[in-house]
Amino acid sequence: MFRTKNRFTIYSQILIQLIREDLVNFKYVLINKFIDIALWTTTMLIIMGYVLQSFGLTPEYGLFMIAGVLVSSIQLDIYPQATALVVDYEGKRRINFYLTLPMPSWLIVMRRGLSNAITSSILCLPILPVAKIILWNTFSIGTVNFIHFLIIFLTVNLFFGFFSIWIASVVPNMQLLTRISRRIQTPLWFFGCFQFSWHTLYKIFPTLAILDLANPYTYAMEAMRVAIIGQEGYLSFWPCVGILLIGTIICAIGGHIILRKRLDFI
Amino acid sequence: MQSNIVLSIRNISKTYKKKMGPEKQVFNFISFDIQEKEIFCFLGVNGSGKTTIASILATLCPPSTGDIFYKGESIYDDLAAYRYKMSFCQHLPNFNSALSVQNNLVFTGRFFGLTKKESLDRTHELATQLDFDTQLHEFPKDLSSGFVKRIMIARALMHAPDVLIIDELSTGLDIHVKKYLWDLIRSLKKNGMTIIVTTQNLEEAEELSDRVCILHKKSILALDTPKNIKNLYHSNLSLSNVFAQLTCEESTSK
Repeated sequence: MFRTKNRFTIYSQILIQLIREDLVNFKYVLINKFIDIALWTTTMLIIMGYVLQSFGLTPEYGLFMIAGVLVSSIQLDIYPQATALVVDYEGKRRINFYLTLPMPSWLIVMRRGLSNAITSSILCLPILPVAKIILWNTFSIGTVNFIHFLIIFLTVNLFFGFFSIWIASVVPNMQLLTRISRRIQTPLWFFGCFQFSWHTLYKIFPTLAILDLANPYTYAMEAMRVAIIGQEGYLSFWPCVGILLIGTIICAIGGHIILRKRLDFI
Repeated sequence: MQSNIVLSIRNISKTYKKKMGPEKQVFNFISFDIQEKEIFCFLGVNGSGKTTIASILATLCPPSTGDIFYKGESIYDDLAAYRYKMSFCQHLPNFNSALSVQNNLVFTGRFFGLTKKESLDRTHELATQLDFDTQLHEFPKDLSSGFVKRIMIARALMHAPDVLIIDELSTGLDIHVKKYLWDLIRSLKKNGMTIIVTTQNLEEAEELSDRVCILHKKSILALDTPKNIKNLYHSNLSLSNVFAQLTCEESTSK
């Protein structure tokens, strides 16, 4: 095979088969994962869109929260994805089998990030129509810029797909993974403009808002809001996309380097 | 003999760096050759570095020093091409537990560029050859360790490699499965495959291997045919007694 085909074709074919294998695995958990996401989405949107109005929030708050719920749903899968990787590194090391396949090791790491991104995209794409059904009158599909939405949706999925690899690479064991989830992931999520915009945070706590610019969740939430609601009142769309893509590359390269050192592979 | 060298291992060392405490040196500047179509056995006590050398030959981990040549060319110049010629059967099963035996093997074939049909045909061929055709639709976790080992070997054979590296061939298996695997390894050799095996089982090394490499205390203690190793010491003793004597002498002399 190595004499008749060029390397790019060979590696692409292996990569496609590896992702196919992940998708076959995903097929077995799809329904349960979808139920998890559907419950989270409907609960959040009903509370934010209807219940919290009795505390003085405007009916549009439900619309505002669609982006937060969407990004949160994507990032909710980081922990199980990172867990699966850490369990493998600590246990059976299935990764060792993949590392002896005729392809560079960085592609094995890439494959995991891409698979994570594809599976979370499949799970989270139906959130938008579900949100329309729940927030029927307050959510007009006409406000959605579908090109922007597709771009940021894929970018956020890619970012979190590789972010989970980076987390799994730096966490030495399962106990620490739980701790990291509680001490780092949760604050990043809640300070990452999940329930408010960055400009609102800036008005109240400017220093915190400046610090929050180092938080990738901020860019994911803000750009998603731009795609769903419109640009006014949020961070600019394209810089957010650019920063998330840079973050994805950093997580992919960093994750690969750390894993290579940790698992001692070539 | 020289022209039939398939793997040349030159000045290989392996040192594990620890975050705390001293570095752990597994072996130090070892060199040897592996001939084509031979069954080459690494023998050693626990911690002697058998699995580490097998992992290095399988390109799973890098050596700290030295180089490995496959038919005269450094394997590190073109890892992917070498990996296509070699296969590594690890000690512990690491299948995709969500997939049946058949799907695990079919996917392995696909990873090595076989078409779906070729991969399925090869799976059935190996299942018949290794006698697990009735287990094809079961899940690896539901099978006995004997079957799991056969399927591990089948997975390693999916792309018909030239060199097969097997870590701990028969550890934890009963005598019937062991004998079955020994026959299988001999038949693979007859078909032209070079087989590298790590084992702690001295009977296995004596029974199966063309040459034995005894690893002890970071270096090669002996490398020859089982017969020659025995002749060097006491020809009337079994390899296991010679091994015990060798490793004991080495320990006391140091």
